[in-house]
Amino acid sequence: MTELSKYKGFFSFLIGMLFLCLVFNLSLGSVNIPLWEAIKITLGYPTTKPTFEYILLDYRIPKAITAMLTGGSLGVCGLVMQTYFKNPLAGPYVLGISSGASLGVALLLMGSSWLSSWFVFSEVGLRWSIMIAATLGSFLVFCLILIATARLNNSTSLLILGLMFGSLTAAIVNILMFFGSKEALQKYVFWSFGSLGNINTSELKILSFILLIGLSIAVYSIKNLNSLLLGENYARSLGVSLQKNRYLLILSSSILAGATTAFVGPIGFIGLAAPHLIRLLISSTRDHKIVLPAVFLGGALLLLICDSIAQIPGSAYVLPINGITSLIGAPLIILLILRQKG
Amino acid sequence: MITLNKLTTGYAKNGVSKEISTELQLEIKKGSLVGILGRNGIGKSTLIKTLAGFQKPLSGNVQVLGKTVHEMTPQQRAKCLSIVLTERKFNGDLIGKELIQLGRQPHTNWRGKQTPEDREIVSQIIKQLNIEQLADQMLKTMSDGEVQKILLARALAQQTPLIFLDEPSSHLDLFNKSLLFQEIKQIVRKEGKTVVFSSHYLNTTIQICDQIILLLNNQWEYGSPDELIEKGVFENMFPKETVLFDPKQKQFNICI
Repeated sequence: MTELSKYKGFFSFLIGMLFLCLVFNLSLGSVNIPLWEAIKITLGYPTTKPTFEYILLDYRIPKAITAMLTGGSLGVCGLVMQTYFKNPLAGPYVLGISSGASLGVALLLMGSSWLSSWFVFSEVGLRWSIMIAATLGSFLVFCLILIATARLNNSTSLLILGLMFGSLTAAIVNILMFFGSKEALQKYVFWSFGSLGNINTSELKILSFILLIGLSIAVYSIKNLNSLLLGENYARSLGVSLQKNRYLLILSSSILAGATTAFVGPIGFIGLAAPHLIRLLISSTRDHKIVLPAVFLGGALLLLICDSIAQIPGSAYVLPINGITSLIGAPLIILLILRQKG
Repeated sequence: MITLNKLTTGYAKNGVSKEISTELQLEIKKGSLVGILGRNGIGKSTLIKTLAGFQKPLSGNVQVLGKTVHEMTPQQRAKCLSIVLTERKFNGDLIGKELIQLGRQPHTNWRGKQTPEDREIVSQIIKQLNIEQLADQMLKTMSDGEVQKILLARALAQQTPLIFLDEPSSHLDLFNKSLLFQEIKQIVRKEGKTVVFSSHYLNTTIQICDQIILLLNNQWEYGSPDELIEKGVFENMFPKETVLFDPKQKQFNICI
């Protein structure tokens, strides 16, 4: 609807901020790497300190890329859900996909005392087992939602259904936690904290590939998302096939939310906060051609900032990222909404 | 233009069907303004939605330009007919011009890219309907009448030979209602479009329409206002002690 060129300045601002935060983020951690060294190593210049190079290339850069990719993907997922459900409170978790992932992980870690013959895993294989369990869990909920979608023809019922799936899986997780062993409980709680730094380069490649598929579907749906701003009936009168479009949007957000949760654990509020932030920054258009890429950049920026805070500058501790995103995200939304009303 | 073949509209739920209008058999000619009249709850909206392909008929069918409406793909329908609905479920943050531009969606490529021609068509329509000052406003800040104009502009931007309007004047005062109907009349006269609208404003509809579809309980009438007056169908529409039809003035009067 709107010309992209009008928003060049805004996009330059977002990309500039993202670059600044990236450099800042790379210099943070338990080992103090000066900003200038960080920039040099990132750009591939030779360095006098091989330890710095090792820390940056093998840990901090993959972690920063993971943060930007998952943050952006969660933001896009939130935007798609908010437009589809015409509900500003919708986010990546409304369909219950992530709860499905949690259920998978909980079953693996805490149900394994009952099903010990099913899951025999070593400490080394544990991370992959968790990823597979999370993927299977989110896929299960995804299938249930697809079956429900075929029977329902309105988005509000689907929204309620997703929330119910979420509550149901949360209840099962709770019961599993009650019976789980101390060690299993600890592992589960650590997983639920979320972690961006646990991912290595080859895993990052797989994650990027999956997210790219989810994002491509979202980009392909931009035209239909714009039509949906008028409501489902008008969208249909503009030539949108509602059923096909619904499957595409659910598929896209399931991939985005499911893959993110499987690889880095649950990360709250980014998917909710990023679209709100961008919509307030650019109030002159609702065109998804502008808003969707902006939300991707905004989500990437938000999670990168949260990750920088989680490092606690100058200390050896890393706080749970899921706690930080909620700690930053919730007040941010409160602030934005209060300012909007005023 | 539109042919209704033994069209029965209504709802089917759990195997039980509720018929609303039965076996309508009529033809709407190109370039005519047709009003669907009837009491509240008689099925005007259901008929409009069935004609526009939103709802499947219980039996019979609707042919638009020789094709059965509910067998067309959404894309085919979008190029053939546009609609203004009573529902207001759109995002209130939308800008007037953006909403009108969405009318061009069926004509754009997969990315929804607006060509210079698309933009030209939209600004032409904005000028035609005299709504330049609304183009940059958010929908949530507009009055009902203003929103109605924007929605009409969107339907026009879709550039279809056929336009359906469901209760287009229901929230408007006399002045805005008159402006809207003048505009609609212009569109029919000058551009040769076919416009079908539903209304419960009997007097206005009788005054401006070329043809009227009158829905009565289990019955229907179709014809020009004068033909229907001659037939005497309006006299029996309401109990005589409440509303009386005056055939000379061509209007309904409340009995006091």
